[in-house]
Amino acid sequence: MNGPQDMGGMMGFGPVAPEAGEPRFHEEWERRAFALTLAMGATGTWNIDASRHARETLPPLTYWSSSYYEIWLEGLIKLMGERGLVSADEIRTGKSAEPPRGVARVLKADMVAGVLAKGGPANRSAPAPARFKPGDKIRIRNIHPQGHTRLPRYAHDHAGEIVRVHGCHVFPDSSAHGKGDDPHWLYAVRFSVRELWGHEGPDHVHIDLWEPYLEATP
Amino acid sequence: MNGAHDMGGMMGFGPVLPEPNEPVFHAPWEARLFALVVATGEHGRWTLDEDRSACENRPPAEYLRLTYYEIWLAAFAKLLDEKGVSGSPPSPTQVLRPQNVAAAHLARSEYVREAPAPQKFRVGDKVRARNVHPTGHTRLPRYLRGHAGEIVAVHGAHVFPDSNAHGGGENPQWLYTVRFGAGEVWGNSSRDSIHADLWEPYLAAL
Repeated sequence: MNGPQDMGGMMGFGPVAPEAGEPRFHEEWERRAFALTLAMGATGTWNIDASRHARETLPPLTYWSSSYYEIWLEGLIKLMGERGLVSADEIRTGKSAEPPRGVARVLKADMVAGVLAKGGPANRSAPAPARFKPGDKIRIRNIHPQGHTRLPRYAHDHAGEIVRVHGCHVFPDSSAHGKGDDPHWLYAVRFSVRELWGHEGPDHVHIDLWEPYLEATP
Repeated sequence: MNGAHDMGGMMGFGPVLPEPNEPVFHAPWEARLFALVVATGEHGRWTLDEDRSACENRPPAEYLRLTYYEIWLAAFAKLLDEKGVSGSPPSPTQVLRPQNVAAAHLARSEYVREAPAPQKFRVGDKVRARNVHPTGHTRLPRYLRGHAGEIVAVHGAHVFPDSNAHGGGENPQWLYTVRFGAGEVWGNSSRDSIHADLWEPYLAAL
């Protein structure tokens, strides 16, 4: 979806002010929100793409007014609320009002390091040969899906070049909506800034893009 | 600028809920603010385009948080601050009297100017909206950039907002209505059309 997370090319946010010695967490609650989100993710009730989509479908005003971990927390509340794991009342009062519902897996403290080290690989075996190879010229489709996508708006309709083939990966546009892994080839695509933004310059933008986002340049 | 006002194509705002019998103003302060902005406009300290730019050029979260007239108020405060209202008071001819409101409002709504050069395009010409991303004011929406359309009307030469919003003078340019197929713009099979009024510098011959 063309949501508030799709900020590439937007102006008016003010300067990026990097924080010297930036801490991993700015408040204790951020550490807790991070742990809660990972622990709930480990239950297998949703996948990482559904989790991303929950954050990105927050109303634009909420999204732009929230800090990074505020967005995580709002996303988690939404994911749990949609699945009947928490009610609005429980969030408001901070107290459990109903007996806990069962989940498939529970992340115990002694399992955390192992689970984190294992990660969640998204590469899969290929259902078909790759359509493109490094050096191929492609064009990005002009598509505006209502659901989750990782194709940024600013790349629509622009021409680029395949610079790397990452293998076949879970397709977020399907996976976020419970439609299975639906694996597709994933490529690093290089665009010139002139092509994307219409001004001269030596810079390039590289974006990892799935095959269904691309079409061959005639 | 590609600001929060440039919402065409953005999703996630929820449904549009038209208000039955929507009043012109929802609170007395809105009517008062409207009058203040129009009356102060008579002083000639800023142009309509500067006013629009002042509305649009603000942090996106703030733009979305404010109501329509709250945005007007924020822009008004910004212009008063930047342009100053202290110093010499407005001359008597710059003070808008109640009996002059209607005439003054009409006079200030006229943006047709003498053409500095012949028009580049005619009705039926195919054009492409340029892929430009000015950091200043523009009235070319982001979602049309790079797309092909057709000239369907020529409105004459008009004040060019991209210049006039930044003290660059009126710099009149030809203004056209351009028709874009919705399929061209959004990549779907829609047969609908979008019409946008666009100034000549936004367009390239196809």
